[in-house]
Amino acid sequence: MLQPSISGDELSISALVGSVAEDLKLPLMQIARKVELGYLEGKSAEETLSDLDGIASDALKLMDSYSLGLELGERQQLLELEPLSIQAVLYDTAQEMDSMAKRYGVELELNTTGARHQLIMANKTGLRAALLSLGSVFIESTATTSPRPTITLAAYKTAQGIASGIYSQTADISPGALALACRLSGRARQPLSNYSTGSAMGIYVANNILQAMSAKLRTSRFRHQGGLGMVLLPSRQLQLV
Amino acid sequence: MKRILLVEPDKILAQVYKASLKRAGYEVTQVSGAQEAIISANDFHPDIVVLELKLVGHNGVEFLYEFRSYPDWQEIPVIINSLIHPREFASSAILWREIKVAGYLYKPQSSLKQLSSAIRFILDKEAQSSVPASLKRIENFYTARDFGF
Repeated sequence: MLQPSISGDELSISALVGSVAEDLKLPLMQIARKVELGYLEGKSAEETLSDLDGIASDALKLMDSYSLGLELGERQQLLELEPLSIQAVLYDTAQEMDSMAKRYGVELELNTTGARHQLIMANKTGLRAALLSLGSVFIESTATTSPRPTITLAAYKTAQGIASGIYSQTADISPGALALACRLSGRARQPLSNYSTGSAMGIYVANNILQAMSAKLRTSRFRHQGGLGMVLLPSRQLQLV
Repeated sequence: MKRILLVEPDKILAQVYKASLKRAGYEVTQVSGAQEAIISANDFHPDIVVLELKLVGHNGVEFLYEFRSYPDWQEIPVIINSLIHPREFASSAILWREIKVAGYLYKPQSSLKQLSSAIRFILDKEAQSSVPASLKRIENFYTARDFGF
């Protein structure tokens, strides 16, 4: 089930950069405190470094996604589309999110039974960046709000096209809350305060990237789970056999 | 053994803070949100609360108002350990007078050692007349006096 899409007011780059800086504090603090704890506990360098490597790598991936989203939002440009396997994109994104999910104790599920072998028109880099940005918000929030945290990356057919998104048991985000979150991004400390402690920049960025693909971020539901998703047009040119 | 109720929404930081405070000799219960914190305070009877203000749902200030509304909890010291910079509360009597925060640490710039020292300082009433050397050098631990309250 899909809800009407959102639109946000224009936002100054400085406000957005401020929000990105706020989001970047968290992985850096995690690194600093883990190093300190490692010293206190006399942990081996290998143990500590392996943890830190994961945090740093995930933060860098996220910053790349944020850069893309902010640039697209600033320049209002469109991304080139190509036929892609939505199953493959979701699988690759799940692989990228896996280390962060493990660190937070969140289980990742992939469900593309409703859209297996479907090709969609999208930009591969953009779509992965959008999903990664959304995924990071979902992982941090679900870990906080759920006793058995699980998020699902899913794709399924709808009358309008192939719907795809990220879902969880605790992501009961209304269309109004999503619209407000995007409007308040960069302005409010916690634009999605009932779901996340962070700046919701991942949602704002995902929305920008999707708009550059002529798609829009919407609230949606998948098998009794709430979430955020998008509808992508199927490719008519090729069909996987 | 003194008991700490740690209200920290980020799972990774929560694990680190909890491990560090247990090493420092405290019994620690960690929760992620305001509602859980009220329930835990009732079950766990903490000697001190360490609180992040940016929570999901009800924020830390709302939690503190509710916390202080219970007669049994009015004198339990609360240290804020938050992502929000204390300058945002510099001229506000709310934190220091109404909900009686004992101290404030700015999380991005405060180490595990500083948190332990701050807790020790607040809990040890006899030591309160002299601030530990480690705290004197650190600009990130604030008390009501720093803001004229």
